[in-house]
Amino acid sequence: METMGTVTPISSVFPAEEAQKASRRVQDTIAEREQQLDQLKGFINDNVSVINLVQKLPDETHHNIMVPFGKAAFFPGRLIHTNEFMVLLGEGYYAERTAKQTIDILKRRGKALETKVESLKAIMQDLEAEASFFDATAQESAEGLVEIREDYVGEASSGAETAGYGKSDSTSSLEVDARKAAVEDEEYTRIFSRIDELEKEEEEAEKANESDEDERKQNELDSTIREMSVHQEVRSSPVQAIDAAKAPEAPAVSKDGSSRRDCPPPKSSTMNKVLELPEEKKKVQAPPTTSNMAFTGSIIEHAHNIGMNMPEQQTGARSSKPVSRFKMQRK
Amino acid sequence: MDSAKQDKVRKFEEFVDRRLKPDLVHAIAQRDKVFEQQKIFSDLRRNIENLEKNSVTSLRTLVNLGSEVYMQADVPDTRHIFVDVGLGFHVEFTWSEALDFVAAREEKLSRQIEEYTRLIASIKAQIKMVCEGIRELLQLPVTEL
Amino acid sequence: MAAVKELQRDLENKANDLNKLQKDIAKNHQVRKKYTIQLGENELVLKELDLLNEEANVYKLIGPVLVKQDLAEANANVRKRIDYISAELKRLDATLQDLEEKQNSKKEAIFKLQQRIQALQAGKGKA
Repeated sequence: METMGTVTPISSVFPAEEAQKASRRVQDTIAEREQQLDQLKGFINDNVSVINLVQKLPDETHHNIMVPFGKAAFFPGRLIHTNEFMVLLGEGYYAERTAKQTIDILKRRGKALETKVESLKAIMQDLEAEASFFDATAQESAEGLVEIREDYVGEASSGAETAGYGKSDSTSSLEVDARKAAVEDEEYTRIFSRIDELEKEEEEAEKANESDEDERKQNELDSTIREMSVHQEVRSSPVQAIDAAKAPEAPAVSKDGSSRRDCPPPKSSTMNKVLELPEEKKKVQAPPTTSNMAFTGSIIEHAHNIGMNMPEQQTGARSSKPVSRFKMQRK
Repeated sequence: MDSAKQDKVRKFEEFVDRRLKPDLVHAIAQRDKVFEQQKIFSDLRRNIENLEKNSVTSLRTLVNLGSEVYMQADVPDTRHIFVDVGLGFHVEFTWSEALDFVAAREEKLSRQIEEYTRLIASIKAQIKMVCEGIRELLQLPVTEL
Repeated sequence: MAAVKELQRDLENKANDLNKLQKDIAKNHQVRKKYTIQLGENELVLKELDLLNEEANVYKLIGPVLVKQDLAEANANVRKRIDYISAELKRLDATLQDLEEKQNSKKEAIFKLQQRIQALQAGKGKA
């Protein structure tokens, strides 16, 4: 078979160090999220123990305790009105509730925390995937893998789309036809996993666009910022290289959670041109819809997640004002 | 010659970044902790003084049970107060005993703060010095030209 | 050569402008994050207030004092607060869009400038 496309070493598109850097960046974000997760779990545990306490307190009409007086002192005293609780609802609002009602509130709170944990876990899974993708890219790049682009000329459908993806070993793909049968399976699995990842990213980015970022980001990409010598402080240069080349997530990661997913769609599809075989394409289109909905959803939700820090704030408030609260209650 | 100079500059910079700056951060964090303690005890002193002034012998308060859930608590007799004296020990004091203790503790804390402040100042001075040294090293060739 | 210098100065200015814009955008994001968190908290409060029966005692912590509040009043206050924050968020969104538009046109201008500089330099090189 005659060669009809271009062969580019991957390392020229994503240098190994850049991919590694990106991977490290993602790893850092994962570590951050892990901390958040631990914190949330701490809140959940606290919540559970308070629920247990609230449940037991009304069993007696009073309990002898040491009543805290500021942070460094106590009075011997007792809890009274053991079926009356003051519960903070947030924003400085308190409500007087019975034990049962209080438990309801706390359970609702616990549920909210659980959902936060779930979505955080989903984010982390996504990040893990990202990290392993960067690692893989770094490795491929270091190994001197090449990317082969060929325009697909075949059935009618292809003209419109040009959307098969593939990267493969130089050896195997250079003589695709001859060795096809032998390496097919192995290659397919690899290709598909890559495709999946790319699709995920695209979809993610699309969602991000819909939700609040606009497509201007695409222009930015298309005009290949990497060419610019201007240094932009907001995004560091290493990211830029990769970002322009392909990865949507690097910038997203580097910024705070609230922000943009630069969108890859135009890029990644042009980058990875057709290898061959129309049937591949069909499969390409199939998986993303199912496999990605769940996780994209949560990502977007999270990018702007509201409550993430709220419990923190509450604790902050609690620790900052105990004395005054105490004072004001004095009769 | 030039590489030796560069080496030196690098060493200086490393010293600042790896040693002095972390030291500074640590010292500041330590001092903040002491500040916190100081605030706790001055609050306590003020509160006890308030009790004295208004001759409050019993009081009612809200106790935080955790997760911002509060319950009323009754203190029948406030004349005996248990004060945290450190290491998890609480000592039963009368008001005046407590005030004496708090005064002593406050003095000790402010001495600690002073120490930390001095330490912080000296680390800052060292950083400045080393930075100055680096600048001189780098500037020399410029002036020679 | 003078032309190139001129262009380069222009480029620098534009790069500075871009930087400023990006800082503004970052600030906008921060403020928005804060408001979003507040909005979330207020919505939670409203949800809980809605679940209370009418004779429930509600207090608001104002400074160091717990002040008893009418449930209806508290409800109205929280709603008002939510409206305010939502409006603020909308305003921020509009500003953000504006800023990003500016940012993109700046970027484009910079890109064009760079191309011109490159073209000029290439021309010099050959000549």
